[in-house]
Amino acid sequence: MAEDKKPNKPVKKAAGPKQGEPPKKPPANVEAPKDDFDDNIRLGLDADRVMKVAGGVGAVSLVACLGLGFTGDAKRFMFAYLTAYIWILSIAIGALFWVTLQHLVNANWSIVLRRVAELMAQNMPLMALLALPILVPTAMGNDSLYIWVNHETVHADHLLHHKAPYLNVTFFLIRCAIYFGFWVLLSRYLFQTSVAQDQSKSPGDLAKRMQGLSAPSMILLALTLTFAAFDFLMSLEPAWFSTIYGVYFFAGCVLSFNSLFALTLMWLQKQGRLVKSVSVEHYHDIGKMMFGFTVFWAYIGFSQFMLIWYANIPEETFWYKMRFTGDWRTVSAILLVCHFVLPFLGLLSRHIKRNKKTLGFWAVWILVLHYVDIYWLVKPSLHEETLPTGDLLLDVTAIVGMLGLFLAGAAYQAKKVRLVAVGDPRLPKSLAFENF
Amino acid sequence: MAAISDVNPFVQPPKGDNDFARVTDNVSRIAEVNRPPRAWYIAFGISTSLLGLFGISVAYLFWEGIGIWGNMNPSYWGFPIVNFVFWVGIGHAGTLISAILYLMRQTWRTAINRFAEAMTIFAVICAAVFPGLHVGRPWLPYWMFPIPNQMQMWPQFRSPLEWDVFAVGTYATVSLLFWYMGMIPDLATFRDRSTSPLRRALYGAFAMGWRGSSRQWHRYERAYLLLAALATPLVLSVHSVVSFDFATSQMPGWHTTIFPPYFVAGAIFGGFAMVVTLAVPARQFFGLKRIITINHLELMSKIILATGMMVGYAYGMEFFIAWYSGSAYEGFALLNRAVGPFAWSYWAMIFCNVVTPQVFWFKSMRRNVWVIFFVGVLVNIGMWFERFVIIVTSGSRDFLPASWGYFIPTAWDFATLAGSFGLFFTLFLLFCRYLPMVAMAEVKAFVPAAHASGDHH
Repeated sequence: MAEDKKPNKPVKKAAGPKQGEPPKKPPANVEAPKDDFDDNIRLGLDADRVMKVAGGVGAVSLVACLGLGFTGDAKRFMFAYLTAYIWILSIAIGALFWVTLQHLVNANWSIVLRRVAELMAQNMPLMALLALPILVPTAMGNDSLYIWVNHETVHADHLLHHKAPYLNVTFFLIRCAIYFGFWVLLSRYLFQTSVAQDQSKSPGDLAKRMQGLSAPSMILLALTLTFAAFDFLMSLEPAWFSTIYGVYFFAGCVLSFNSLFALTLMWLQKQGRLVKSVSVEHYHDIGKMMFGFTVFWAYIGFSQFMLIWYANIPEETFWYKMRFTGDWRTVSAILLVCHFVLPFLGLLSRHIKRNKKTLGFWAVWILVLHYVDIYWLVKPSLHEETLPTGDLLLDVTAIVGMLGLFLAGAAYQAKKVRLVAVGDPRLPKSLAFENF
Repeated sequence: MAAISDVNPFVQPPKGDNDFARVTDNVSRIAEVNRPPRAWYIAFGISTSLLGLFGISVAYLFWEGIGIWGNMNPSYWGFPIVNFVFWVGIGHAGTLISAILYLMRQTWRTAINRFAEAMTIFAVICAAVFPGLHVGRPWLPYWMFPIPNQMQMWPQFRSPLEWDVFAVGTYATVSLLFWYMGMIPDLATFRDRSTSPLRRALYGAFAMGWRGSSRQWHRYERAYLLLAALATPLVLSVHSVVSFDFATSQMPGWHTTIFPPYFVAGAIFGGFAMVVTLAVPARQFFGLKRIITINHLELMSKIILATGMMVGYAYGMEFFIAWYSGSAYEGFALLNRAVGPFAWSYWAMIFCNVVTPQVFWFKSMRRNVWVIFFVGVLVNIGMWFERFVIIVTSGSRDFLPASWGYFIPTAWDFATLAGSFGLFFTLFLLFCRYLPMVAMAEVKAFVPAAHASGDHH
């Protein structure tokens, strides 16, 4: 295996699979620099393909969504857009958390997977860009999403008045700048240092440096994630409050990221990448994380619900009342059964986690249900009692648009780098990793 | 130490031809030598004295009634429940180490898991005592259990206090099974090495005929994995249910949704603090420094720092939401903690739980046994104060200012608290003396010699 890493070694001519080709013909993509690594770890032309297909479909879809928004009802558009946006943002945050966590705990098993997660976390600038359709109208005083934007509403309502020092447009925008600024900086730093490690003569030092930075970063990540959840989601119902809300959002971030992560790895292997390096053992561990966070999500969701239900204080119960009336009652039941009970039973067996097909099935399942979860958090504020089935086109275009751009963004970053952190000194341990 | 080092078997290097034999020798001789180290006698003397104090306190309590405590309108729960939650929390590190760290393949846990598990059992015993004492009718504690009876009298199943009975009961049972099952191979080692018939008979009985055949090992590993998987949700559930005792109420400062994970993080935090508090002297006096190395202590320091930050996060969220909610009572309850009559306890808690663990940002501090021990003790104090802050501060000033009061503990409160430490340490010291303190079989799987052939398991 790749036990011997000689970072700056000249390229071995004979190593390539294609013998007859003159070396300088395809300039950028095909098999560009030969790595001293016994696997196909360059995305090459497939990156272009993803950028074209996913990026193209995504862009068209998102434009269609925005078009529908401009021509139709602004509120409905904003709520549909926010739902899809939070869904994709949670995956990006989950990726950033995952990378930071692997550094923090000095994990060995995951080194071979780290680059792919780094690439997904690299979408943070795109996330900031995609937030603009939420931030710009809010900055301009549009209260379609957040009623606390409207001065008159705030003055008429004692509670909103009380919260105004926090829930006001200026401070909201400053906070968003802090969130995205930190996320962009952290993901950039971890990515660039990791890429530098590929060629570095002292990769161990870089690993140490990333580990050192990940500890304080984790604190900031916890705080930014929490307050972003408060700002984007909880303040949709500004009268309502729950101290566990950030943790609930966090559970969804990690869960959905691990699901998309498993699917991405499967796709890469289908394209002939990482075939020798990523093994069933790695899928097994990702599957364990999916299982663990399915349970954690349910634990946090139950804690929040049970405590509010039991104490029965009207200031808090109205939030659940909204979700227990009309069609939302069904959605709540679906969340309980399909977001917890079924994946819990489904992911319990190690055979399922070690089989790409079954694990892939549950990964798709969880991603869909995670969207339902966000839907359930966001939409009842606008649509009481009945499901906004009329907004299906808005929802679908928003989802497809953002997911497409997310994948294209990751592929764009992937074009320039190896798909494996080949320089990391712990890589052999990760390659040889086996579950006992 | 120095005075008796010439004859002290604990400071001599362990005997044996290879690492496996040396591990066995190092651990087994603690239970085999004729006399434990002098420090053990001193500690045991203090512990049994405190245990005696506990006996006196309980005897007087049963004689006189719970009026001997400071529990008084409006603080009905007082010390007994503070102590109960404190001790249950201590118990969490053991299961975390034996179950969650096992599932996470943290092989370093093998050096500390056995006595952390033992600590869990003893802490749960200490915890279980207090609700029984607090009900004030020591002849009726069986009412807590749903025992079928002719009068059709049942406990209130809708009360979180009743859920506690089940949660702690389940936890104690599974922890005990986990601890005992893990100990069987080591008990067999003790049996095989014993020189007296009595020891052979006793260790032999408890080793349940363990011979170490590969089939037995296979069964053992399977059972261990299953127990680990079953115990993992228990790490979260027990203290979550304990937090329900408070959070299901409408009491400001108690009713907040972050309580379950916050209590769990705090329990692991306090539990690890207790593990290092015990591990530092134990490795010193029993000559276990080659097994429980400074690296282990450093890793535990990191866990203390991480869980301390989680607890700090929860304190912060409580404060922020108390303001954000706009609820006058909630806001007052939190402000009352920080600047009210019990502010001293709040700031003691913040100092111990949030400020002191910050020294662990520095590697030199994480590798200094004195610092680790000292921080461990402070965190234990801080975690006790955390429960005091929650229980006493909220209880003494609720919605009606007319019913406010101040809680003053009595000497008997302190005697019972100190006595519970006596109970804990007595049990722990007996464990150190008579049972395998370190999971020898598990440690051996990870000594370098076990990997001589180059496999990576």
